[in-house]
Amino acid sequence: MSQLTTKIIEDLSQLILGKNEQLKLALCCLLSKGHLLIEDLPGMGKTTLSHGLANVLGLSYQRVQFTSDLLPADITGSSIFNSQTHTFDFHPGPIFSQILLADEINRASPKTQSALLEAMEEGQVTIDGQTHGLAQPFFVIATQNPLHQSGTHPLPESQLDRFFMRISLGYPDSEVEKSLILQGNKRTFETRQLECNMTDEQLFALQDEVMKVKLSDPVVQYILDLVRYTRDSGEFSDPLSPRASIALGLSARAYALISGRDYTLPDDVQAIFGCVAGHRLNIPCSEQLDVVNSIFKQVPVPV
Amino acid sequence: MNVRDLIAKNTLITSFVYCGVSLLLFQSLGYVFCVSILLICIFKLSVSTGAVKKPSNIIINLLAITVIVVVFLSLGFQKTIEMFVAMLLGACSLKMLKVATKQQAQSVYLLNFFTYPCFYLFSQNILSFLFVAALLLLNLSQLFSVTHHLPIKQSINNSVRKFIFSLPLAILMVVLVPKLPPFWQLPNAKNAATGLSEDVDPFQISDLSRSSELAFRALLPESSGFQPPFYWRAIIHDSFDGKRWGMSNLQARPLVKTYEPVGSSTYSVISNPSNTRWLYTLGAGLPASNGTKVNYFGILYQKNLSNKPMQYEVSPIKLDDARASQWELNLNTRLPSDINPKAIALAKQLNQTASSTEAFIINMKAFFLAQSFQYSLSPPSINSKHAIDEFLFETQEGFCGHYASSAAFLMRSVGIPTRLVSGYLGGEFNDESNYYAVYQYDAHAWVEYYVPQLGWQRLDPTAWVSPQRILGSLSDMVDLEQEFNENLGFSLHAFSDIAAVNWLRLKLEQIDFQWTRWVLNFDDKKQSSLLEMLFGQKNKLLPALSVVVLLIIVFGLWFIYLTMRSKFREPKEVRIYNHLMMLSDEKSDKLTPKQIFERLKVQWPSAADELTEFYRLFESARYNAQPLSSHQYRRLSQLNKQIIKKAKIK
Repeated sequence: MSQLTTKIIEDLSQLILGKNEQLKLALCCLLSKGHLLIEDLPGMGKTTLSHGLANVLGLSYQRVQFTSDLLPADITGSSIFNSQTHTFDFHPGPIFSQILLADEINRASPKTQSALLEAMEEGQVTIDGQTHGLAQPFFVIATQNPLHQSGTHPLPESQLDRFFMRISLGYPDSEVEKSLILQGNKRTFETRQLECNMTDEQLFALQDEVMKVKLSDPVVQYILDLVRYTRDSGEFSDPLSPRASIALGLSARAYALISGRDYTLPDDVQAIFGCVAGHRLNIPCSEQLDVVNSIFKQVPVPV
Repeated sequence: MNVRDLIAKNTLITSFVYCGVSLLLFQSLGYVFCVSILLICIFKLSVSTGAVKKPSNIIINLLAITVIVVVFLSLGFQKTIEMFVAMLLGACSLKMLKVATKQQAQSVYLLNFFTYPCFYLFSQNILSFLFVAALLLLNLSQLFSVTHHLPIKQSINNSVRKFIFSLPLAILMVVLVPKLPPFWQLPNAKNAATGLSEDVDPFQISDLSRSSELAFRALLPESSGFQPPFYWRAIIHDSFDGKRWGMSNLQARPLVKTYEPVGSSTYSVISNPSNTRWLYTLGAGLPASNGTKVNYFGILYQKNLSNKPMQYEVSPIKLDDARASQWELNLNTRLPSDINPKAIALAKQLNQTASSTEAFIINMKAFFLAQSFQYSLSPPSINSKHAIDEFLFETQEGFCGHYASSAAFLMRSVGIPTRLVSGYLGGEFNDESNYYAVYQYDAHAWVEYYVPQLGWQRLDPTAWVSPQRILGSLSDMVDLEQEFNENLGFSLHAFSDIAAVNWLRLKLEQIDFQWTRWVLNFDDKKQSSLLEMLFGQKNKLLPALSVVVLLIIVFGLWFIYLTMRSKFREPKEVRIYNHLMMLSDEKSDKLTPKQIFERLKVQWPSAADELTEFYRLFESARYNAQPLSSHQYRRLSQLNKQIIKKAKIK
């Protein structure tokens, strides 16, 4: 199984250069059946990453550009009168795909945002009294501009919590950027060339594999200590919820699996802690690294 | 609750505690100081409610200077102890305004374990013990709460549990660990303002303000044969200078003749600290326990003043004083010339019809009964040179000192050797514990006169005027009740009429008696007698030492058990890992084992291979749930040794 994950990461790293850690985290999120939030400035490769993930995992892919006038029905779909059969036919929206890229989710009105997030939580949508199940697997990859940009509606805390992870790609190294300049627009071209080398079954098997990764006592204790610290230290106004604790355990397992192990280490917890806890603790992306490191400096690692 | 709120809450409580302690000690510390502590407390309250903003360092320093000035002005340099306690309380109260971090709060709470027991410098009875114990318990909880970020309620729960758990051990230590004498002692803080004085001049006193404080308690077995009224002798005043009755050097002269005790039974007295070293003796006695001496008059005294209650045993004797020396008789008839001419005339007149000393006394009694003498606790003060004249013929109002001193003067003026005795009369019997409680207001003065071939005889002139005074304690006298209560001020004694209050007072008395007898008086002597009783050995040091050794062994074993228990719970690989970590410089527990090993490899490059293998084994055992085989375990220990060896070489 580890060969499979290594291959996925290899494929993706050809697409997005020099960002192996972020790729691992993104994959880790999808293997934990969680929705992913990518927060970055425009032009950093958010869309490329999500499109690449869909391709590599062999999932159907739809992209919605969120704007301020986007309506819920534009995502979920609607019933339209068919004049020949004299019936209302349901025309499914872009949400009926396996990976939905919600581009610039914070540009849409709160109403539209919550329609999407409800669907994420329930795994189904109800239109005109009819319930339609969503595809399996179903992932939402949302991208978000940093909040200080004008014309944005920040996601409320309760909805941020629905996202399993928040990652940020950040600027590439100058070495990487140089090769990007030299390659020109070749990357988008290559996206189409990636082999669709995974089936749904393989993905489900990988997801099952995650649950089999061993989570030993000291690691669980470390997660508990970290969560307790956010609650007791008084530094955070929104400490971590039990849902966050579950997410930490799950993603540590997925990260261990991606790293080719069937057991977790405290290092796995440290690797995923920032992107699982950052948005839940309301830490801005730019400060996430410092805050997380200061937490690690406060909480002893149980042996 | 976050740490800052917790500290703020705790310090506010502590401010109130300081304030309460100061108010309870206001008699010793002065009300100006107490008011300033109260103001600091109010300031703290308004800071914590947010009404006032947090004071800056400059303001706190100014306040500190003010408090120092207040302490110096109100207490002066003489009262060292009071000043020291006031400074401590003031400093702690001000610190409460400033405490913001956990460390600061912890240091104050540690200091409080010293601050609160300072209360014992002023009072040692059972109520103050309970009070200080409660404060210490609260302090422990607050320390707990600040250290572990726990709500106060929960930490009180915790510390009470710990307290109860450690109580038996503490009692065992107090009983069995040998008591060493103190390395240094504070000067006597409780120099009782009340009690007997070595010079008596009753005419100067206009208002005998007497306190209901306990003077001493006595355990009088029935077999000792003493019957009321109990005259407790303390000081013999045999030199009279016309104004004062003072002591001669006989008071401090030890009894040289050897006496056999009358009867076999002894009685014991537990006396509260007083400002003189003369103890209280019924008639004459010999010390039956160490620590006391007996003087020429058969009165016991202590070698040094002590600020703790002390217990002593007395075996009664009959003084063989039938033949007094001429010098002593001269001393006891000496009168200054040209004072009290009227009294001398009266004495001469009374003596004309008297054939013997007894007859003179009868005449004198008749004189006192014929006149309208009044017993009063607040007689007018007499400042004249002829004070006794004025008392006998004009004011005719006074208390025991007046009557005793007048009678002694009259007797001396006709040549009867007479001396004044001060001590205590009576006592309140406590049925349940079978002791007599004698209070400061039971202080009394009477006279002793000498009859050749018979020796010194007791005479109480006050009894002629006020017979009830002799029958019981002063508090029992109905006539004087009003006056007595006015003089007492506010205390439970003032409400003795109400049955419930009296019952409560007697109960408290009794508990305090047992407390003083068994706890406060548990000194090295009592300890050694207890040890002797327990171990039945003459060499007392041996059992005490063996107890200490035993305790150390028990503690050692317990400690070993505790560490071993946690060690046995730890998996083997963790034990070896911790051992390695102890030797490495990487003390940080904030790094994951993997990170630590990466650093160690940089530190000890020569041991890199061993470190890698060690970590691999550790990781698979600890995180991959694959318990070490015995072979792997041996390999791990071996690697540990190799790493340590290589690290040392480097």
